[in-house]
Amino acid sequence: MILTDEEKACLQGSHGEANRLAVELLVRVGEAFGSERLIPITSAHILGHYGSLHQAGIDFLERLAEGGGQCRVPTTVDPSSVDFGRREQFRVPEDYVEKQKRLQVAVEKLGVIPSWSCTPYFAHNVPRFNQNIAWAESSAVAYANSVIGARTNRTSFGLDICAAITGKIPEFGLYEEQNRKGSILFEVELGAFSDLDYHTLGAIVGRRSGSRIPVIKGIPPDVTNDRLKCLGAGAASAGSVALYHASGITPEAQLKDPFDGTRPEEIFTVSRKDLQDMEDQISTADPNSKVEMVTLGCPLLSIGELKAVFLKMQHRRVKKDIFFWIYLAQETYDLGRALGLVEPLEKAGIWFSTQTCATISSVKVWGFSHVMTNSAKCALVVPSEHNLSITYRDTDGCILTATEPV
Amino acid sequence: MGRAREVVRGRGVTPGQGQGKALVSTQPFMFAHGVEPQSGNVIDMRSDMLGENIKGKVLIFPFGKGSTTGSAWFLETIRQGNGPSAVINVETEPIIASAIVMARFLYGIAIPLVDRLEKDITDLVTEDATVQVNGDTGEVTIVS
Repeated sequence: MILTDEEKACLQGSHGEANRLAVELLVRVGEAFGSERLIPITSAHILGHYGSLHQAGIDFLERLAEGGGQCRVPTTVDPSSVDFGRREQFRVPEDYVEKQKRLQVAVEKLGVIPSWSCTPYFAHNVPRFNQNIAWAESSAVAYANSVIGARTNRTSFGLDICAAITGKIPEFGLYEEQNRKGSILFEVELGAFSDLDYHTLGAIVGRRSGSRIPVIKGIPPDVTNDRLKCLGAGAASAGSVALYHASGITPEAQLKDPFDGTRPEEIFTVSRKDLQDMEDQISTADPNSKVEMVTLGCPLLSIGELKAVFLKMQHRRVKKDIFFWIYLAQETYDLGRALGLVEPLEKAGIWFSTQTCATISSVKVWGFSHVMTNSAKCALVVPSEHNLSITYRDTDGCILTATEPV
Repeated sequence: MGRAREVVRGRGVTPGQGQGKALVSTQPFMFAHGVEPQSGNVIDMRSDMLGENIKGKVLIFPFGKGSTTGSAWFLETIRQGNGPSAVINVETEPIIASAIVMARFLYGIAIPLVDRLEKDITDLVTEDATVQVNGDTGEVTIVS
């Protein structure tokens, strides 16, 4: 790699231990990818949950914090493994609390905005078109690349914080224009879309694309960002889609031919039957077994989605023998509270949790065997070692299962 | 094949020397929820290495896949002393490479990572073959 004088000095330790480590990691990985240089970024989004980072993740973040590391660009953090305000309610084990606390201290010392949300593009960290950013969190990567047209690879743990404190990332993959064109086409013929259809379409696109870049035709032009959030999350978790183009919707597809004059390698049509088949695949539970917990908010519930739940919940309450948990960002919860949406739902028996989510918290301690969700991502990423079976339904279906008329 | 001391050249991505029994997967490999850090056991239900243990092995797979948290899972596996002695990929990727670089920073453990071998290593190693990996030169030696 060709390094600037400042980067060379960093490698010699001129900017402190944290910067030395960070530049070395970026350069080593960059060299593995044939990258010629480090490029400036304008934003970072890092991982910070104990459930995946383990002690090793704590060691790395603490080492950078002790070495004087400070974020040079606006940097947010993905959800935590612990909602500290509700740790007793959610029966969070003591070791999770203690380890997550250490991560929180390190993250704050490094100058990260403690957002603990997987939807940084809705608050605190909104990139602009064509900006180079370094984001972890696959669903946020899909959103930033596709819906906004910012540029990031799926930044792995370690590289994310090193990019944040140096303000740089090796140039390869989706930072380069020629690697952003579509290679396969999905022609969607559905007519009306339900909220679940976006998750399911995402899963279909993800599974068939692998790491190729899909172009999707047939999404209604008035689609909301909430729904594109769900589409990208499904695609990123069923495959490793980091960027999709949606004709007439996403910016790069509006500015030019996403195939750049080439023919798609493959063309798939997606019909209502394909969606039904995928829904059946995502649901793994025996339909006769009892749902023990219903969860919404993967990715974290937006204010619009919260309002929809509120409206559907009129004159209903959570059944005595079922848990109904909703995950959302702190600012969404606060706004929902100010709007009078939260309190009635809490009174009706819904448990809210902020700053964490079902897939990365200690849900395992509850010993559930059958969970219902409206999220393809949530269904697909539940670790196989949890032995959970899943029923996958739209938001209304989830609410009707979890609640009864007052 | 079993011809003693065959040497195959590749690209050294991370430095160091490692030797061990070969553990070969022909599928993309996942550390996040795929390897149990406290044992080194492969727990990914979909992996052709399910039930194997990676500790001290020369781990051979085409490339990494799955969640970007995989680098933390791999790093934790190394921290607990259950990492492989070397890794050989067809084409490596950031999850694998960054975990190995972090392991050297944090724990002083050097695991050589070599990719882009001039020959398909899966054709050359038999089950239980012993393989030496030199991450400085990119040379892979099939010892037996």
